[in-house]
Amino acid sequence: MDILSALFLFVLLPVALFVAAGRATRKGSRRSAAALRRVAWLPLIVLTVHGLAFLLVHAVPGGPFDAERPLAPATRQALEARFGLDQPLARQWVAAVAGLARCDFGPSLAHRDHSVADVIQEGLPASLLLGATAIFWMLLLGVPLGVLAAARAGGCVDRGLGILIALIQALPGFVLAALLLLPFVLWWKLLPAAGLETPAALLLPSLALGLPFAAQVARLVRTAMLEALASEWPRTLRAAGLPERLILRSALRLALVPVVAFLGQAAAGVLTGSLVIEQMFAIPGLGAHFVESALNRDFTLALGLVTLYTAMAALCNWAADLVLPLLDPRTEGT
Amino acid sequence: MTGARRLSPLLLLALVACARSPRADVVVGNGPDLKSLDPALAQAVSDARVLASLFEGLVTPDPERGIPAPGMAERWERVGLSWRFFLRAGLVWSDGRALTAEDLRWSLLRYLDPATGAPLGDFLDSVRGARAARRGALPLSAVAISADNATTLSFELESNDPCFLQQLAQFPLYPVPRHVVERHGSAWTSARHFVSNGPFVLEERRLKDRVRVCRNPRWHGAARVRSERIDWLALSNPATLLNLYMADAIDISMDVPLSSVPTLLAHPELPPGSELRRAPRLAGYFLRLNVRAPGFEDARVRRALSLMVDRNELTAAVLRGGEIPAPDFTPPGVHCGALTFKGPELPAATEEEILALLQQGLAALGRKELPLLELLVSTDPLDGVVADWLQQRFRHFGLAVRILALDGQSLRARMTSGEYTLARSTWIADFDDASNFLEVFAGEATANRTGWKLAAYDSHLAAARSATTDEERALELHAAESLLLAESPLIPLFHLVSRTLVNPRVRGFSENPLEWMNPAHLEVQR
Repeated sequence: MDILSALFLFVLLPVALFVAAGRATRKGSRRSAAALRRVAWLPLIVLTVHGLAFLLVHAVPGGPFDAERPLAPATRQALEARFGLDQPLARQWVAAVAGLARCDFGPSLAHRDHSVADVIQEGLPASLLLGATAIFWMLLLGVPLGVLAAARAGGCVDRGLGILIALIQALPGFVLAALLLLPFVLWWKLLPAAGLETPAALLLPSLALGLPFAAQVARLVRTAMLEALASEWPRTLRAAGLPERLILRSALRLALVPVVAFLGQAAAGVLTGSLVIEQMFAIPGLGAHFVESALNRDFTLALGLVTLYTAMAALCNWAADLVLPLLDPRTEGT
Repeated sequence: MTGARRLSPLLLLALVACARSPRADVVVGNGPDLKSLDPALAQAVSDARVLASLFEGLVTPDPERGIPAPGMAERWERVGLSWRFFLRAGLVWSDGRALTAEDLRWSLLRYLDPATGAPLGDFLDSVRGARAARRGALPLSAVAISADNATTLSFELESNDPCFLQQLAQFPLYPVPRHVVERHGSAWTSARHFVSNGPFVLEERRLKDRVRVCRNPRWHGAARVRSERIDWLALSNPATLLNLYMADAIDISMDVPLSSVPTLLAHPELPPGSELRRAPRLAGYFLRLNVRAPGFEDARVRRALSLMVDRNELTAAVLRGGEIPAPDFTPPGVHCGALTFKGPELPAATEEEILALLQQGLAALGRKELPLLELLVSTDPLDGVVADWLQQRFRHFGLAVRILALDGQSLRARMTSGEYTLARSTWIADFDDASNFLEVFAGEATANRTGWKLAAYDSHLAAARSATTDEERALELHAAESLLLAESPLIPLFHLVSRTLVNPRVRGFSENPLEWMNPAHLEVQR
């Protein structure tokens, strides 16, 4: 039954969607065809990344039950049998794909009281909240700063912002976090040091996580704005006597195209790159699990998280592709 | 309104993620997240502290006196190889169900069952049939543990074991509730089903966040429990622990970043109203030498390498965290029964003597020099510091060392399979006895992993096990350690110390070599 659902999800469904996309193309509906193709790719992307992750976690030396004190052989055998690790690798992969089809990654091998689903259920809200707030800061700070830099291109403000942006991008996450912690937590005691128990506690970690992305967005917006402003249409508009504010607004609309395209990548980045921030601010999210599952050889949790992140990144990219034509109709159907 | 609607998923997420719980009476920054609430599956020292708040063993560690104190058993008697434990009257689980000797027997057999997968599975090895049963060679029913009646539990030992009581006090042997385990399987550790028998019961557990326990009114000593609630925070980053301590968000921090130690020592006023407490641990940091590696087959070569290390320089000038130089494997202050064990030490040697010893060893192997040595370390920052210093030190004696930093699992896998030359290792004692260190290098010990096996060493350990007095045992252990240092399948580097920050308002905490604490005694005077 599991195999059948896996076959349906990873073979029949994509094939059916590709066929439907082909028909839509023949009927001239490029937009529907593109959307269908993107949906068809989703399970294939997830399956491919899952397969690669499966190979990688099993290729590295060491297993989940290696410890400073080695297990007795009988105990090791019993554990490997319980978790199916004594099976040939191909059979383990088939079982993992069958589990993937029903979104059941089995028990975590390192967190013995929890299944992978439990770990995700407990950690995802904190990670999503942290990530969403970081994205919020990214847009709130990155877009206006990029516009400002473009509007004052070559001036002192632009140069100052350039230095600030480069500095933020160059600083490692833990340094940025420490720079925020020192004044707000340790000196002035304005904000909690760690945890997520109050909304105020979210401020510093989300800023520490979001600032590097905000810097990147500011760069993207600045470049795209300058490119848009250098083309011919702003000159025409200026000649027609339109105020500069309206021209900037039109240019911003175009400048947002790379930002929206960047959203998928940023979403993946804030989710997978939150390890240091989560550790420094003691946030019980998935970032630490993601890295530790690989280090602990917690095969099931590692596969579960890689698959989750892949699906989320793919969905974000898909959503960005849906939004892009609204900003720039030229991108439709590409 | 539309904006509020748009924001509502984010707000919902915030509510779920920011579930606020009031501060517990005592908040302990405990270290890495608990591996399991099932005592048989837990492993780390930090796990032991949490479990000691939830469970009580037959006997209880008493680090101050060095010998176990009564726990569930109010007294015990020993006749030859037989031990009988008499349980307190009226013991109950936290759900009110009676806790009998049969529950305990079932629990101990479950611990021995290979299917349980206990990572620290050898604490009952001296019980007749236990070692064979955990290896799957005997049925569990053949293990000589019996419940004579509801309040009497008996053990028949295979041979004399001077550390039997200390081993019985270990957390993996805490009883687990058969009626809950059989009903819920591995889900018995979820907060919904969890039942225990200690001073506290589980109130809440959040992964990577905390274990919150509250007083168990059904515990026999409930009147002596000083706090209503304790939070054990799962924080593995010492820098975060320090931040939280400085912000007064935790009362006890069980670790401090090594790099902060000199600053905290120089400025004791920095953590508000407290100072850094350091205490020797029963834990050693050393290098394993693979005696099968080319050039390491000769003990003189290995011993020469061990003599090359200037441990005082390493601890005083490089680490500066209060670590104790280790010219031996057994740490200072470790006991042998009631005696304080004073083991042998590596002799001091001049550089010429060390080089001459190395040359003698190499000549016996028909070699002129040692090949490039590969030193395996973990990615832990401490390992990096130690490895860099060792590389310099060995280079001073003309030896080339390549450092290879691996993640913990790869490092252990390489050690277990014997694919290494030198590998960084630690040993943290389970209980306060020199044998707990020296047994690591017994020929058949799975923890040995050096390929070194010496009949004389094993026979000293066997003689120590069957010794009838502490003095006799200490002599045998002393002889064994002398052999260990002479043969050098390891290079001891330093003994670890605990670094704790304890708010002066905390009562009932005393640092001790096993980093154990009695949670029932903890309180914060606010």
